[in-house]
Amino acid sequence: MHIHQLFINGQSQSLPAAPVLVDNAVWFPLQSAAKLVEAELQETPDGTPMLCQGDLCVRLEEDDRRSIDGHPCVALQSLAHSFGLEWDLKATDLYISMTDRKMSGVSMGMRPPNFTLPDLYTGAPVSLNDFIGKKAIFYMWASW
Amino acid sequence: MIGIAQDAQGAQLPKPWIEQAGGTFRSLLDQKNLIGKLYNLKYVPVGILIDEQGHLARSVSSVNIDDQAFKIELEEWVTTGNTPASWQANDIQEAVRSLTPEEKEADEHLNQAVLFLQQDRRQDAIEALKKGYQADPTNWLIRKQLWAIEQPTAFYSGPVDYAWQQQRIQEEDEARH
Repeated sequence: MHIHQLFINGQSQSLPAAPVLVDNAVWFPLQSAAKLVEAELQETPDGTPMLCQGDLCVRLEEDDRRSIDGHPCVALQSLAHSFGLEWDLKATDLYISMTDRKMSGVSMGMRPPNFTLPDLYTGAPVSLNDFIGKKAIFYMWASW
Repeated sequence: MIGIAQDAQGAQLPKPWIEQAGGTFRSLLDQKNLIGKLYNLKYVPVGILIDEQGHLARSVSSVNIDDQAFKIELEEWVTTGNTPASWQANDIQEAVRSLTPEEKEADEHLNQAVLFLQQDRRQDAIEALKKGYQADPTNWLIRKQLWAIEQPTAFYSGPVDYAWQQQRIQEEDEARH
């Protein structure tokens, strides 16, 4: 379902591509989302896109991204926590408020950045996400 | 349990340590400091603890596996799923951020050093790591690997020579200030 009217901090706004409601999530065009939270689109060292506002960066995991009608979109929920977004959907109107309750980064209960490294003996690629479903302890050490 | 060996020199150095310890856990190799870059880490040892849903069970930070209190906490979490109170109390809001220009430069030198090591160009690797250390002196993953390649006898001939390391730190710190 397309959003017909968008209000940001009470002001009516129009975007080049409209936000969409799919699977109970609001999907916002990526470029517009970056503008909304005043962030720059960058990439992590492993190539995952992230939105950065100064030192504050939010990784956009695969589940948080989707192409809708040919536009790359991001789930608004994935930005809410870090950039202090709140919103309310009334019929086809979306009301977004920017708050100053910004929290960032990797802390308990959050999904950590995924990574893929070679097995030390076989060279086979192994990812953090391969271990979802069981408890896992990754221990980073060195011989030196 | 999955071990991640940080080693620009490749798998041949960590392997004997794992075998000597009788380790049966999965072991991965991180030659180019991927984990450090992703998690803003510049030291070892570090633990990344993930629950069944793939969420962090503890802040990504240093762990001491010889610490009895930590062992008890770890056993509690593994067997019951309950998060120890101290993990909650010490939770860190760790900002995920881009590398600074200095960190990027240091990372480029480290990558160059890995390439040189793969070509058996040890002296070139040492020079690249020196540049990496100069670009980001706070990165112990670069600084100590430089030492280990320059002075392997202080690391790989019997017990690690911590007195030599202290001396080296003092000399480098004096040179920088």
